[in-house]
Amino acid sequence: MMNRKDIPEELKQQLNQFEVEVPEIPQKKSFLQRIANWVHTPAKNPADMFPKTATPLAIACVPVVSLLILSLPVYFIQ
Amino acid sequence: MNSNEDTNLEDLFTTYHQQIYHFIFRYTQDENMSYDIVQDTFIKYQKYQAEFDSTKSHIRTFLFRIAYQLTMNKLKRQNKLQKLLPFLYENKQESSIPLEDKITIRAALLKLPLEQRSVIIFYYYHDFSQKDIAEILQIPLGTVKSRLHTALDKLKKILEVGDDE
Repeated sequence: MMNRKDIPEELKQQLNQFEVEVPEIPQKKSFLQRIANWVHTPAKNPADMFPKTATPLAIACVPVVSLLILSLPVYFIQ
Repeated sequence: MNSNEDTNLEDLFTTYHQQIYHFIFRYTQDENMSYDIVQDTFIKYQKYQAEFDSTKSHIRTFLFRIAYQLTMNKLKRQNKLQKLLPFLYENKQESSIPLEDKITIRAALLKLPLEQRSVIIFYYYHDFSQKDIAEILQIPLGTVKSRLHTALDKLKKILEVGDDE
C-alpha cells in the first residue's frame, strides 16, 4: 500500500505551499450574505471573448452590428 | 431541535468547519462556493444525522462525505450554467491564479481531473486513510489506490519533480 513517505520531498514542499485562509463563517446561512457573495464574484472580462488580433474599431462595431441584427425582425412588421 | 442537538451541532461546526473549508477551497479554488458549502454541509448534517452510525464510521468522514457530495452537485450545476452563459464565469485555469503561482501547486491541482484531485487532497492535506477516502467518495479501495498513484505521477510531471525515494 502507498505510504506518505513515498511522496518525494520536493513534491511535499510544493504541496505545503498551498495554504488556505479561512474567512469568518457563521453557522447559520444568510440569504443576503449569499446574494452579496454572488454579486461580488469576479466575472470574466468580456473583452476576452474577442480574438487578440481584434482592433478597437472592430470591437466598437460589435454592439452596432448586434443591434442591427437584433432589429431585423422589426423591418418585417407591417 | 432541542438544546442538546444545538450544542452538538455547534461543537461539530467549531471543530470541523475549517477543515471542510480547506478541502472545498483546495478542490474548487472558489471562495464563495467554499463558504456556502461549509454552511450547507452542517444544514444537511442536521437533516440526515439519524443516518449516521458511529459504529461504522467516524463523524469526520460522514461530514466530509456530505461536503464532497454537495461540492460535486454544485460543480455540476455550475458547469451546466457555464455552458449556457459562459460570459458570467471567469476562467479559473488562468485568471484567478496569481501570476507567481502560475506553475505552482494551485495551478497543478486544477490541471488534475476532479476524481484524482479529491483523492490527493484527502490523502495529503487531511490525513485520511485510503479506506476512509473510499467511504467518502463511495468508490472501491482499489480505485482510490490507482487514482492516488495516477494523481501523484501527474503532479510530479506537471511540477517537474523527480523521484527521490
